[in-house]
Amino acid sequence: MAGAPNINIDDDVLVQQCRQGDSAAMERLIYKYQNRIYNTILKMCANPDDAAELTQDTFVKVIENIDKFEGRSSFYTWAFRIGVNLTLNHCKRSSKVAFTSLETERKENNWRPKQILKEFLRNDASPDPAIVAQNKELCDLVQKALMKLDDTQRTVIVLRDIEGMNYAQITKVLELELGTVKSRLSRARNNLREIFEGFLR
Amino acid sequence: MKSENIDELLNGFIDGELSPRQLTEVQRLIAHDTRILERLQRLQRGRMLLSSLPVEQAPADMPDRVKTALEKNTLLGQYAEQYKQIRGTRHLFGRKLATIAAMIGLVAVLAVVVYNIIAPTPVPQKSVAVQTQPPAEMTAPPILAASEKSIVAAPGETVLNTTIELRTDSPNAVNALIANALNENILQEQWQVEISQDRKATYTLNAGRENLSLFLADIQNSFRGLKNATMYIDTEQFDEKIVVENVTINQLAEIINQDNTQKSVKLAADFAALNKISSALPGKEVFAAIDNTSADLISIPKPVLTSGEKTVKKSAAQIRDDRKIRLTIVVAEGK
Repeated sequence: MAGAPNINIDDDVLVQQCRQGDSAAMERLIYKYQNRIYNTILKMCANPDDAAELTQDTFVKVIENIDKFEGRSSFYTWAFRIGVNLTLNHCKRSSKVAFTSLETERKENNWRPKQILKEFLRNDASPDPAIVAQNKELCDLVQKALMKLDDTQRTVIVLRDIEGMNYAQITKVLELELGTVKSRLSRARNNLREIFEGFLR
Repeated sequence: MKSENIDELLNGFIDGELSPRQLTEVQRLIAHDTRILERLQRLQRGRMLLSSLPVEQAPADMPDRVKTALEKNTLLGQYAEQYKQIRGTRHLFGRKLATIAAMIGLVAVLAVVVYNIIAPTPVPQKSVAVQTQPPAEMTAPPILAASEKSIVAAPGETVLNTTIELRTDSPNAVNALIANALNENILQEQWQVEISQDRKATYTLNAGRENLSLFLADIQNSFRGLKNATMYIDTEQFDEKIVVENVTINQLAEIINQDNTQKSVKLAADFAALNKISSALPGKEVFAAIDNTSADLISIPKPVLTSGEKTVKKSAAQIRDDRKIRLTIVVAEGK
């Protein structure tokens, strides 16, 4: 990241400096987490402009409430909790989000990404993650499938499989019991698999 | 094992979230059940698919956007604070005004209440009509009807209001004497008499000083047979009278003949005190005074004929007197 300052500083130190009005520390916190928060939010809401706005709002809220951060959880999970809550509220307000039926999806002329998706999901194949990353149409298809999940399932699967949080971190971000996270993640993955299979029929 | 539980175990397996015992259980399951192995592979591929999605970069100006938003919020917060302060100031000012208005109202109410409590009670106007200036066309003095209680007084002059209570064993004789004296000296319009069922006669006179003096001189003889004579004279204080017990005709004449009402009242007070002292003295000389057997204090200014002309009844114009006196004489049979 061009121009990004050194971010290998402990979060607690940055938070402390930020509390004392150190704008440089504030910038370092933003640089450290902006892409991860933005990426998570974008996968949840599927709109780059909304994701940018929500990411900005997340950091504004983080900085405005930094004095209230008690350190019972890590700054990372605390900041994500703020971002996820803002995004979930945004999704509730704009429930119009990209609902398209599976039938519509089948009729769309996206044969190539579907073929790649089919190959990827075949049990007897050796999938290459790089192929997915390089194929924007396939990424869009996966994003569409994600958006067909309900908000709570999408959130938990994004936090685990895209952001890479462990279960304990997810429980802190979503303030859920571990068993709830496990069951919700299991249902989310099964539902997503069915959605993919629906695309390929 | 239920399918949901197996799925949760498989998910925990691919996420590395299983305990050693769960891990052993999953390894046993996938080793013996190809369907479970296929489910595990599907889950792994789905997870891999999502993990393969490229990480999107946040807008490069995110820190600046955050700073701008923070400044905007701060300004808005300041404006909101200022607005709150202005609104609060206005609200406070309004409350102060309301409080002041309420206090003024309260003070006004209290003032009215206090004034009603401590204000001097106005002296009720006695039945006196003060005519400060006679009408230009009036050539004759006002004539009082016998029944009228009002008296015409000179400007700035108060009216002497006197009552004499006469107690006698022979009221008929006294009444006859008084009636004769009235007819002789006082205009018919200036006096009236009322006789009650218990034979108590009340004479009300509104006359001038001079005529009253003549009248008193005429009734001087009637005082000789009195058992008691008491004079009541109004003072300037409302409802306060001076009582002159055992008053003599001379004292009465002296009181009436004073230049003004104040002097008359003062003299009446002196006589009241004197008579009270006299009644306490041995021999009760006051009765002697009533009987007029002792030396008179003051000689009654009875007019004396200085020529051989016959006495002529005075006309109304002649008997005009500047100072009107209201004299009430009560004649009762009594102790």
